[in-house]
Amino acid sequence: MPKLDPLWIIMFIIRMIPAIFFLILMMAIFFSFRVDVRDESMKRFVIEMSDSITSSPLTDYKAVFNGEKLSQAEAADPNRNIELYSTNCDYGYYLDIESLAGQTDCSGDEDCRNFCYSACGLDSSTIDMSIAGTLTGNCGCNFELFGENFCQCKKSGGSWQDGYKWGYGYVPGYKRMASPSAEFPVGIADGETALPAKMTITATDSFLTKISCIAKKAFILKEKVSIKYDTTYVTTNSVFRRSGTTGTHVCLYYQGYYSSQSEPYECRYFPDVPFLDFQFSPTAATGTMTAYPITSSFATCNDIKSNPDLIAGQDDTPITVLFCLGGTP
Amino acid sequence: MKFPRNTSKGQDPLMVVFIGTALMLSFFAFAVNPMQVAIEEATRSDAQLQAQHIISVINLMNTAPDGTSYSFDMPNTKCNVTITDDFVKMTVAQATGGDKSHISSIIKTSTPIKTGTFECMNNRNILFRKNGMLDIGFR
Repeated sequence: MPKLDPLWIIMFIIRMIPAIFFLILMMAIFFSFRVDVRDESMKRFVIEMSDSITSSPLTDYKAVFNGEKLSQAEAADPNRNIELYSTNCDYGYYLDIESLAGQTDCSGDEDCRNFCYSACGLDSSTIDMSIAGTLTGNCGCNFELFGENFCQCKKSGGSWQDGYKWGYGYVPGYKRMASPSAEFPVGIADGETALPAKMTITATDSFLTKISCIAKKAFILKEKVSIKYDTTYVTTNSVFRRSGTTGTHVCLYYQGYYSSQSEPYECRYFPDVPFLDFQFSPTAATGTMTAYPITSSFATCNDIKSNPDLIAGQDDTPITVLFCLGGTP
Repeated sequence: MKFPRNTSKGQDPLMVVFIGTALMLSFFAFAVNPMQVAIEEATRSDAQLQAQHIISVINLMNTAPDGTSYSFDMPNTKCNVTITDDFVKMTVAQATGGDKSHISSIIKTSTPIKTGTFECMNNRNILFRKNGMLDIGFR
């Protein structure tokens, strides 16, 4: 039987320590392998929306916008809450298109006529190049003591602008849960050529987009749909209902709505989906809420608990949507 | 004083490192492929990811020129896809029992979309074809 040599054992252990550490390191590297699947749905949405808008009726060619149509779109959305041509239920968006070509030089008001037509959506009946020029009218040449004179114009209800600039879409009036934005190179048609421009699209995820979208999902798909809420992003006791006589918008009102008919603090163009007015009065800062499609024109949350048949199934025709706190998303 | 014995007969720590590393690398090499397959399958059976994949296809096909087509491989699991004008609902049966659903929203444009419900089947694909409208069917 071989005799154990203590010195040899000690030296062996000392030499083994780096080897063991090396193996542990290799194992740590191996087992630290993680699969990280990121959704990034909003960023992807912005890119897909840009593709949709650059092919919309607002353009003459792919990504070459028509100024006149942009002016019409902007005029149709003075309160910045309508998403035109391309809409999405989950996320709202707004876009801004701005020329990168700089100012338009001029030597007199008449030089600016085409600029004012394109940039401000004016026409022969609305253009005003009065004697006082840019002070009282809405189009003219701005004379500079030093430097080049440049054209400027004013949209209805807007301020003076010396470049091509338009914007429309849903701009949230309250806190956003997320709002990524991205810029895309586009053009603005200018006769036979195109001016270089940039289009900025900002997607928005807010309480209003979420609650309005679950109403639509529940109504169209005929099933209950739940979401998580966080009172950081909505004022407690807000009332969610349609606004105006035409009822094309959905809005959030402060608590005083029922007593004082106060103005909404946030609205979004969202026609065609019926739902019952809902006062958001949660008992906790976070939780869940559910939209139920129902077969009756009115019901309460207690009613559907006691009579689940009120909830529309796949073979039923839902009449409206009822919101209740609770549920499983 | 005694000097350490010669450890060249398989007892050298360097040999331990070498053999350990070789074992680990071979294990890693054999494990990568099944792991990759498992990850792909886990991704393909995730209702949310699949619904969003289909949504992206529809969003991009809506603006594509006529004649464009795209074939979507259906997950190799029990599932169904419901496509409406506004939404894609993906329901995937879970290995642990029950179903998991996810609903995503389509970017709605003036392009009409053929709606319908599609059951997942082995070796069947959903074919998206742009031809004035967005036609959706099995292939």
